[in-house]
Amino acid sequence: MDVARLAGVSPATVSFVLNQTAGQTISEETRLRVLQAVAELDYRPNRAAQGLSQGRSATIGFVSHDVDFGEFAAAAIKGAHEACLRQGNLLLLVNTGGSNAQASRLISELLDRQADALIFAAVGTRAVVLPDAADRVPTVLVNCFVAHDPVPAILPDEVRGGREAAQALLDLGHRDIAYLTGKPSQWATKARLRGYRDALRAAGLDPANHTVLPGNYHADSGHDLVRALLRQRRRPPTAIMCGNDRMAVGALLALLEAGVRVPEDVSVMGYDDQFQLAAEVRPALSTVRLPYDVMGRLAAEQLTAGGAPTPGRTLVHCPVVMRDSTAAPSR
Amino acid sequence: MELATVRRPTLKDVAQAAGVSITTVSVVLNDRHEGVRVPDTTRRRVQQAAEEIGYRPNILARSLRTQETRTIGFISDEVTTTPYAVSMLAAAQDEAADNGYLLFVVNLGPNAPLALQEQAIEQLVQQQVAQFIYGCMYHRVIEPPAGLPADAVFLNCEAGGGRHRSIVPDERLGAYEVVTELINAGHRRIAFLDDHQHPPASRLRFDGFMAALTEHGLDYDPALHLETTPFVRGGLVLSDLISLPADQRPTAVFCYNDRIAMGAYRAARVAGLQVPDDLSIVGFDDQEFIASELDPPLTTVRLPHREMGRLAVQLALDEPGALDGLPTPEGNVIRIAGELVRRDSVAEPRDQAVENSPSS
Repeated sequence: MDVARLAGVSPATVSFVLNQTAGQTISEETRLRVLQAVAELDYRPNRAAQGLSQGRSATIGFVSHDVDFGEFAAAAIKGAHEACLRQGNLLLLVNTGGSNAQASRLISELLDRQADALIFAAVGTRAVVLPDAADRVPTVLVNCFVAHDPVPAILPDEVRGGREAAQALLDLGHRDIAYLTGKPSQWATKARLRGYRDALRAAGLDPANHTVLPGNYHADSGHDLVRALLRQRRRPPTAIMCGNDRMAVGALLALLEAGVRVPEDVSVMGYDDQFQLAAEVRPALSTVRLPYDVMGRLAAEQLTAGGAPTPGRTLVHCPVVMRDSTAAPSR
Repeated sequence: MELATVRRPTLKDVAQAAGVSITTVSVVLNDRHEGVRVPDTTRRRVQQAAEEIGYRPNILARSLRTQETRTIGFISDEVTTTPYAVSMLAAAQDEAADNGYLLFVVNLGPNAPLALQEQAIEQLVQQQVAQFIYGCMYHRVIEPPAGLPADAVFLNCEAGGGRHRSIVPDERLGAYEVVTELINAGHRRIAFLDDHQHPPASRLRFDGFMAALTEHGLDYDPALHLETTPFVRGGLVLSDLISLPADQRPTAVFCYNDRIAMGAYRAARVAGLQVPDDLSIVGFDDQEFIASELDPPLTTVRLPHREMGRLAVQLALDEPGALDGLPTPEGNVIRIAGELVRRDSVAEPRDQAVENSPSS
C-alpha cells in the first residue's frame, strides 16, 4: 500500500510488477517507478500473506520422532533440507522426543503455521503410530512405517544391504563368513541376517555351517563376540560381518589384542558407514552405507514433485563401500 | 511447490456447524473482545464445533494482524549434519516448543558465501520470522551476515565486531578441569596432542592446560606438546612420545578431542601399553558413539551443547532470568561450562620402579 502511494499507482499495479504477473501490460516507466518506491521503502513481500492467498506456505514440516536428533536424523534432515531449498521451500523442524502425545501436539503446531506437507522420520527402523492430524496434508514417512502401509514410507533396503555385504566377501573368495549381528529383535537386524543367508545360499553354501552370534550394536559386543569366536573355534572364520560399524570397531580391537591381522588374516565388514568413524579407524572399514540423506531428500522430492507421493514402501539401496579392512582370504 | 492443497476448516465452517455468526466464532476462538459478550453456552457450542470439524487457528492469517508467526530462524553452517553439534539444535527445538515456537532450519553448508547467507535471511524475514539464531558446527569467529537483526543470537561461534550476543563453550575451564583430574591422579609429565590448525578452541584449551600445570607447580615441556590433525589418525603421533626414554615419556595424555584420543588408544595398544594402567588418556567433546564406546570408556569433557541450544532460544525470546546463575559474560560473549565426564581411562601413574624398567 505504501509502495503504491509513493509510486502514485494502484496496489494492483504494484502487485503485477512485483509478482511479474503474465498478461499485464505495464509501461517500463511505471515499472521503474514501482521498483524505485520498493527500494526506498525497503519493502519486502510478505510470504506468509502470499501463502494465505495462494493456499500454500512453501514450508514443509519435518518431524523427528526420536529421543533426540542423533547423527542419523541429522543426515535425513540434511537431505530433506537440500531438496526443499532447491525448490524454494523452507523446513520447519520439530522433535517429538519419541512421544506420541508430543508428536500429535507438534504436528498441530506445524499445521497451524500452514505447513504444506509433512516428513515424519525415525531412527532405528520401526512401526510408528501416526497422529490423526497428519491426514490433513500430504505426509511421507522416513525410516518408519505404519501397519498395512496406508502412508507412503521410504525405507532402507536392509535385506539387499546384508546380501551385498556378504556377496562382497564371497566375491573376494571368502567361504567361511561369521556374522556378529546387532540386537536380534530389531527390524534391521532380521532383514540384514536374511540378506546374509540369501547370499550364502546363492553361492551354494549352507548358512547352518556359518557362525552367527547375537550382539547389541555397541562396540563392547563386537569386542566380546570376537573373543568368544576365537575361543570357540580352532580355526577362526576368514571374514567377519558386523551388525554395525561400532561393533566392527570393537571387533578390530579384539583382533588387534589377539594378534590377528586385519585384513591379512581376517576381513572385517561393518554397516552404517558412520560419520567420522568408518573412514577414520585404522584399517579404514569396509561397510554398507545407510543413506539417510538420500531418504530425506527423496521424501522432500516426492512431496514437492506435484501429484501424490509414491504409495506403499519405497526401498532405498544401501551401497557397499569397500575400504581397507577386507581382502582376499590367505587360506 | 506443486502441492495438492487440502482445504482446511475455516471460521465460516465452524460458524455453520455451530449455527452462529462468524463474528461470534472469531470472538470465541481468536480470543478477541471488541465489546461482544458471548454467553458460556454459546462459547462451549462453538468450541465443540471447532473441535469436531478439526478447526485450528491459522497462525499465518493471524500474523497479518499481529506480525507474529511464533517461529525462530535457525541458520547454521553444518549444525544439522554434524553428530556432535546437532544436539544444540535438538535442545533449541525443545526450548522453542516449550514456548509455543517452532524453528525454521536453514543449513547453508560450510563456508557459505555471504550473499547466500543474506538470501536465506531474506527468505526467513519474508516468512515473518522475527527471531534469529546463527549456529556453527565448531567454535569459531565469524563475520555476521548483513540482514541479521542486532538481537540475533550466535551459537557456538563468536560474532566478529562484538555487537551480537554469542554463546560458546568454556573451553579453557573444561581443559583446566580435565588436566587437573590427571594431576590429582599423580601425573607430572602430561602430553598435549593439539590441533595443528589452532582454531579458537585450541588456544583456549591450551590456556586451560597451562593454568592447571601452573597452579600445581608443574613446568610446561614443549617436547610433550605435539600438533596433529584433529582426526583419529592424528592420535597415532603419540607413538613418537611412547618411544622416548622412560624418564622423559609422558604418563598421561590430554587430547584436543575424542577422535585424537581414539587414535592415541591405538598407538598405545600397538606399543603394548594398557590404558589406563600404563598410560592415562583423556579427551574433549564427549562425542556421541565414540567417547563412551572406546575400551576403556574415555574420561573427557562434555561440550554443553544442550545447555547452549536452550539458552540461545531463551535469549532470542528475551525470557527473563535466562542468564541467572551463569558467570558474568565478557562483553557479549557468554561462556558455558562443560561437564567433566569421569570414565575409566585415568589411573595413577605406575610407580618409579616400574617406570624405570625397560619398556615393552
